[in-house]
Amino acid sequence: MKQPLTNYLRSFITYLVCWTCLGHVVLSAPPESTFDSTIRPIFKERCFACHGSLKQEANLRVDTAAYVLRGGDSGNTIQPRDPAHSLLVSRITSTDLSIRMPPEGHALTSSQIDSVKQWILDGAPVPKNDHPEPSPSDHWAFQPISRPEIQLPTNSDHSFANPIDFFLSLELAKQNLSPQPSATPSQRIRRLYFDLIGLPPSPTQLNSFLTDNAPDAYNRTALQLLNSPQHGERWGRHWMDIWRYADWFGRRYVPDVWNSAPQIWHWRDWIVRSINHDVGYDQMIREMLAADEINPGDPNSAVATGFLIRNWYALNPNDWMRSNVEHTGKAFLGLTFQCAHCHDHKYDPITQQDYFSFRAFFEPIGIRQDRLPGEPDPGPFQEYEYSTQRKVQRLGIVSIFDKNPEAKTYFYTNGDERNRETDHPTLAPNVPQFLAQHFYPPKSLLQLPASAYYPGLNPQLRELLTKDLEKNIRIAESELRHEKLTFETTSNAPTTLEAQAKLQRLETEYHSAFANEDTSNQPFDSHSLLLNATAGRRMIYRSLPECTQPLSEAHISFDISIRSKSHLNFQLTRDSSKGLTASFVGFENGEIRAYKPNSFEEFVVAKFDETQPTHFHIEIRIVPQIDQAELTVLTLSRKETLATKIPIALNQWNPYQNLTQGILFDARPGALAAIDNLSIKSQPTSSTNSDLIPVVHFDFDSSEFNLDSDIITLPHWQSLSFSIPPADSRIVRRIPNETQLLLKKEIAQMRRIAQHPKLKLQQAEANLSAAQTHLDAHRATVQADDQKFRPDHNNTNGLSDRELANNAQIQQRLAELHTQEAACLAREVALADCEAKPHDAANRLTDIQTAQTAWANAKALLEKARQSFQQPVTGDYQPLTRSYLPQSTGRRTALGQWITHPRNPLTARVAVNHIWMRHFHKPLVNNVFDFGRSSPEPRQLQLLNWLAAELIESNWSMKRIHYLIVTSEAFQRSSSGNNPVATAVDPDNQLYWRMNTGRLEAEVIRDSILHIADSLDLQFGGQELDNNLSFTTHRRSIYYCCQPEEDGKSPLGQLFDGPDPTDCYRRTRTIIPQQALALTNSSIVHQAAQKLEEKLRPNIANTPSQQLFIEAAFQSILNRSPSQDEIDSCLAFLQSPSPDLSVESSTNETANRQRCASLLRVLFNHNDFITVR
Amino acid sequence: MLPRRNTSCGPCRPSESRRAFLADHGLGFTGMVLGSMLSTDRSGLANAAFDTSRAAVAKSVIWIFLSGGYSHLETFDPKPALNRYAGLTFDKTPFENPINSPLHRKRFRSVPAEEINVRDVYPTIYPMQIGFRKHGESGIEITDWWPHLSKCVDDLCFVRNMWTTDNDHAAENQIHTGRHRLDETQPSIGSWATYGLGSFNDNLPKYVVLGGPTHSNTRQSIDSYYLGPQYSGVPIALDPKNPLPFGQRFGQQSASEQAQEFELIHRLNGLTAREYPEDAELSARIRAYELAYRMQSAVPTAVNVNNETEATRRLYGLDHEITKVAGERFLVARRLIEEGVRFVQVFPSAYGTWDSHQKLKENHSRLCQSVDLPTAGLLLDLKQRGLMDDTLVVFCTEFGRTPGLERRGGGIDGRDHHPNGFTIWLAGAGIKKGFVHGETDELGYHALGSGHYVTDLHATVLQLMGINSRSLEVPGRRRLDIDHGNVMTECLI
Repeated sequence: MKQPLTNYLRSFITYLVCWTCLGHVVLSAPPESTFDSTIRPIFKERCFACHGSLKQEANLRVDTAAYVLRGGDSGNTIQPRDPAHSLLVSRITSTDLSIRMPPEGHALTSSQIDSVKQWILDGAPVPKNDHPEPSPSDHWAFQPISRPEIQLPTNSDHSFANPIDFFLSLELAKQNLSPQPSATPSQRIRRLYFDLIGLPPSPTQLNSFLTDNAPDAYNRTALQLLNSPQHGERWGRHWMDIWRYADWFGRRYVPDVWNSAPQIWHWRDWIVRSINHDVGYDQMIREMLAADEINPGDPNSAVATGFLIRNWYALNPNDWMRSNVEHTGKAFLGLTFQCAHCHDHKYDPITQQDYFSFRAFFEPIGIRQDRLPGEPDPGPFQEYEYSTQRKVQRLGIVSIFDKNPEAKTYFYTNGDERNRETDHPTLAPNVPQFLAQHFYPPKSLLQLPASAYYPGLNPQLRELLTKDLEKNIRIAESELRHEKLTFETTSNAPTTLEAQAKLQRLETEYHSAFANEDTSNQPFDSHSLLLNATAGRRMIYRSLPECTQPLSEAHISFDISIRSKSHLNFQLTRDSSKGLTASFVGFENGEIRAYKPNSFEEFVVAKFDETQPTHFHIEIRIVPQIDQAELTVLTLSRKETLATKIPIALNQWNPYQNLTQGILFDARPGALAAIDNLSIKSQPTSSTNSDLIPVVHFDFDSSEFNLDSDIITLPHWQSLSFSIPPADSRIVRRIPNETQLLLKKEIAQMRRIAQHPKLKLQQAEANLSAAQTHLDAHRATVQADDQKFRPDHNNTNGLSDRELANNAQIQQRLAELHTQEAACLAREVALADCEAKPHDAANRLTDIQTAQTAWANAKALLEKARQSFQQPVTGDYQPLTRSYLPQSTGRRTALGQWITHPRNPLTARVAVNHIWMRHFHKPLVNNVFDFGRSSPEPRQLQLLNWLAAELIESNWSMKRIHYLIVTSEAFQRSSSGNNPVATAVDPDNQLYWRMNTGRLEAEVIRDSILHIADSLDLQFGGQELDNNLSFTTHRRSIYYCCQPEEDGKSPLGQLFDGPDPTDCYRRTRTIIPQQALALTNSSIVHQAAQKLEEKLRPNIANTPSQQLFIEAAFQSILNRSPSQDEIDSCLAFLQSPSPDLSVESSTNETANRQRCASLLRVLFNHNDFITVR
Repeated sequence: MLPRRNTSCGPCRPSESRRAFLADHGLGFTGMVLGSMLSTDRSGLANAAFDTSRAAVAKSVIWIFLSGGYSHLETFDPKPALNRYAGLTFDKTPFENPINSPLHRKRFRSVPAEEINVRDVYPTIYPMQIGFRKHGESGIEITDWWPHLSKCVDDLCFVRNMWTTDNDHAAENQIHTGRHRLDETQPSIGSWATYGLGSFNDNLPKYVVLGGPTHSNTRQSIDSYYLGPQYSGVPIALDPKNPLPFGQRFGQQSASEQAQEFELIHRLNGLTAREYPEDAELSARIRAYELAYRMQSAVPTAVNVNNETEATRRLYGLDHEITKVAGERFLVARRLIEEGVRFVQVFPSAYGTWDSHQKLKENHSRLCQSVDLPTAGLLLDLKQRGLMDDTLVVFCTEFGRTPGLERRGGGIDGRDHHPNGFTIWLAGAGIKKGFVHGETDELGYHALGSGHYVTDLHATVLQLMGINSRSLEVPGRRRLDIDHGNVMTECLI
């Protein structure tokens, strides 16, 4: 209790002191109210958000003195003249953060607190005009747009061709200001060119305008430029700023795509095209948000959803959603939704609930990646996966679709998605309540046409696929013809005949040696696995995905027949990828070895007689609880026990969900052994029954183990990289001896060599069959697709859905069979090629090994293709492309319709403000992305409203607005500030009595330099180019990479305020010395000057010619004629000797030309080159 | 208002011939508020930033940033408890389990969404990898990997209770911009510090960056965003031949030919200025060209360390391979502030260098060696040249490292990222000497008390430069309370 008392005392003393000091004032006269001047601003900044017109927490408002006096739920807020007993004072001065006001941020400063106390001490006088904060619904930008009438004042003798001039004239007249006269024709035309196409007029264009005396010359030029293809690039770049266009980024140095997408440039091209076609602004918004729903199945429109894809952030879907909400709000509506992410909006009537409801529009979306006709399939869109790089996929297009219509939007607090409020109901899509008048939520799921969810129906895609397949047939036919010719010569070639003879000899030799072999030494009755490392080493690994729960107990057993002294072991692997061993049983030179429990220390478990073929039965009992195993070794006949339950290491081996912990056999060089009856049984963790359940069992007899095929071709079996060719691991019926193995191998090799010409021919034939059956399969697929997806399709052959689907499936199986046959033959040929190499050829053995593995794999696939015919025909054929959900939620369509509803008060206003700003270099509404309550009513609100209404009523034609603006008198005025009266009254030109000067954007600077030198490449569209190419290649700047990483801006963009792709609703405009260095020292300026010099090359010898050159240089670069002073300065420059040259050489041609180029560089550095006057 | 520091700046004085053409437009705008002069949109703002109630103490800042996150435990915040309880989990120690503290989650936020994040917490205590002892009269304990810096502890002020929130390397951006990767982007501290501040030397940029940032996505650390490029850090290469972008004449062009071009540019712009006398941008551009011309020769001179004495070069370790890189950058930093550059941001090593998920001992022992002598050298040099009193040195990193052993990928000898507590130090202008402020808990896990979020460091730097962070506002770009931070008054004299 001590602390409050002290506080109280201190307050009381302050009170006394203050009261004493101010006593006489109170007595003499009622004090002036400081509420409006001092108190209200403090409250406005810190308190109105919760205690004003927006919200009245605890029923308290503090936006008028009267409200403060009235108090709220807690009673009186203040005791006039008694700050010490005023609740307000105790709340704002409290040190207890749970009750201190304001609750967020820092406390009021001591001087602010003193002011409040003083006002209370003065008796809390109410100001005369004690007005409440306006209601949010009264805010100017939230009022419906109505077109203001154009009523000329009766006494006006001026008529206005352009409503813009009418509205501007109202304020000018009020201030009695006369605007500047029109700018010079060359200034006006330069302005027009830069504004509409982002390039300067050529001297010819300039001249043809200057000599055109028709009254409509200017307006005609405007129309012509609006219809130029460069207009879309110019304004496309402006809108790309606002819509945050960014090429892919994330970790470009890896490279790893975290943000946006490598195919996003299709969206950029869509923007440019749409602007050139004057697609309505409303239509563009709707497509950017929901092209997949409103133009389903149209890939040209689908790329518009790049607007949302640009926001993609692979690592965090919540972040993606946040950006979608924030930038949809800022770009289209001028609303700062993002403030309501953490708490209710402080100024605008957007609650946190509204925020998440708005997010719900986007919640179901995902990105799909589709093949473009004539291109290979890019595969499915790559989602984020930890430690996997998201690769730079340039093929196909990406677009938005509703991936998960059931996705729930949760409410979470403080902007941290980890604070999900699970008891808060999930949110349905909705718009902020104060603007909800024309919002129509989707009533039901939208059914999409099949072409939308199954792009395989695209006729162009089908046709190009057909063409490809037909081409393959032609190639295969021609190859076959070639092979037939070759065959005739090679089949009788001496090498072939020699090989055939040798083969015959070998076969006879084998037959005589092994025909009557004794089989009594065979330990296993049927097939077994033979590890043959008589040469090389074989390390085969089997992962155990069948192990679906953690092991609590397990038994591993197998039979092994050992035929050599060399080392051979069985392992439980710790990490197969690194060759690490957890536990093992090894056989070598008559010893059986293993690791001691809980260690990696080897010990001898038992010994055996290695001189005889030896057959063992091995059992390993695994006890994970004590991290040990027990090893039992019996002879196969079970007559003898070599080891019983000897503890050995387990070292945490547990194959559950770990594909690098499986089993492994390692046959070291020289080892030969056979394995059979390999089995693993385990006890399910859940079971109380002690019976062990088989996890895997291999007796190598079943049909999957093809005789003589290498086991590594089967699923989950693999040969580790430690293997050394030519060792192998085959399924055998008998366990042969070494001589037999070698001979057999030699026979197989010789057979392939002997048959090589025939194999080649067979392969070519198989290729042709494969190509033909593929085309058949494709046609069958197309037919079945038509039947399945297009009910109106005219089916001429009278087959049912099912029959067509079955047919497609059969045709596909056939195509697959022929493909695999051809592949198998190709592998066999490749193997034969390797085997036929001279024995001392480099890497021969490795190549043979690789070819063998490839052939084995091919055989396995062929077998699979063969077996597919054993499966029932189900009509389940392989579609041409991926397919998606046939429904979409319609949420984004509803959002787009609401945003572009003619009665939406914000959309058109925000748009025309952006357009205005980019013509007049200054917006009508200063904060271009925030039209909320912190944005005061603009001075030219009438004009803004009129333009907004005009935009809506002209079917949202942006070209219409451009035309109106650039043909206005205001736009064509001189930018000179030479008007003392106006400068005095309106120095900042708020009333547009003159035109503002502009500065060329970074892109326009580069494009213009190139254009002036006739170097600009006007090719349209395509994948973005690296910025490091921006000086050596000459496309328009819009086509170079734009993203927030280091290489995301061109060197000029870095210095001349190039767009910041994270947020660029309005570009900054700066003047820094580095800009001067860029224009004086960059190669682009030097090269342009060189090229322009060649173009304008004068006869430099005489002064009149030099003057003409100067004239032409000014026309080309500054689009105007030089003044006499300028000519004089330039002449002096041209005629003064270059400091680099001696006097005698200074007269020569080269020197003169250098001087001219030098002058051109100077003009590129002239202020008025980068300035639009 | 503030005197130019080095008035006898021989090498960067314009030559006589250039003076002739520069004379009529005057160079006398030293100390003026360049920002407001060049940008009509923000006139007056920059002046408002000055906190008139406090005098500027620091004229310049050298901000040293060690990328990757050095372990506070093996550098400046030794914790004997780690050795005592090595191998045990937190809950087996007598201390409260730091993972159970609400602070753990509050100050620890990964960029990947929780459902796809694989990062774990590591509860098994990993002992300190190096010994430590008391140093100086102040008796401050730092580890034995700092044989040279340890002699300077009586000049340093350690802040041992820093915290941040980004648990990934975007924390590098966070310590410079004050925001988590998932929040909106803000200008860097260097940009704010130079926003609106006058320059002491018009021939050099106000905000210079040496040695970094070396990876493309950490550009935020020097970027000015909505303040415009004039407030972005200007990366300068330590190559006197080509230190600046476009800082070298093209091709074979000679200096005198270029000088003539500049003269003509100047003359022609002057003619236009007669026609548009009220065009502020034009006059600003004329000055920018003058400045550019001088900058082109001043910058190479500033980065050229060849005429430093052998003793100075040794002081910074330029004579040894391991210390050469950092040493050269620190030496150039000193030269730059001597010439009047306001903010020099030094990256002594590349992106992520200090990141020690494995082999912490090997990594940190080598890296400490690479900066120990140069850092001590810088401090000594500043002192002996009398620059210490008005230069602020900041030595920092993006986050600390876990007291627990990182087990990810079967790790056996490293520590993971640790935003919950880390240590930085300050020295020089207005800073207490031989002082330790703040602490982490016994296990070095949590910054105790309210600790200091990264923007507290910003507020401190700004205040020492005479700027009140809260008045740094740009219309339409409302900053949050967290962006301004609170001055670490305890560290100030």
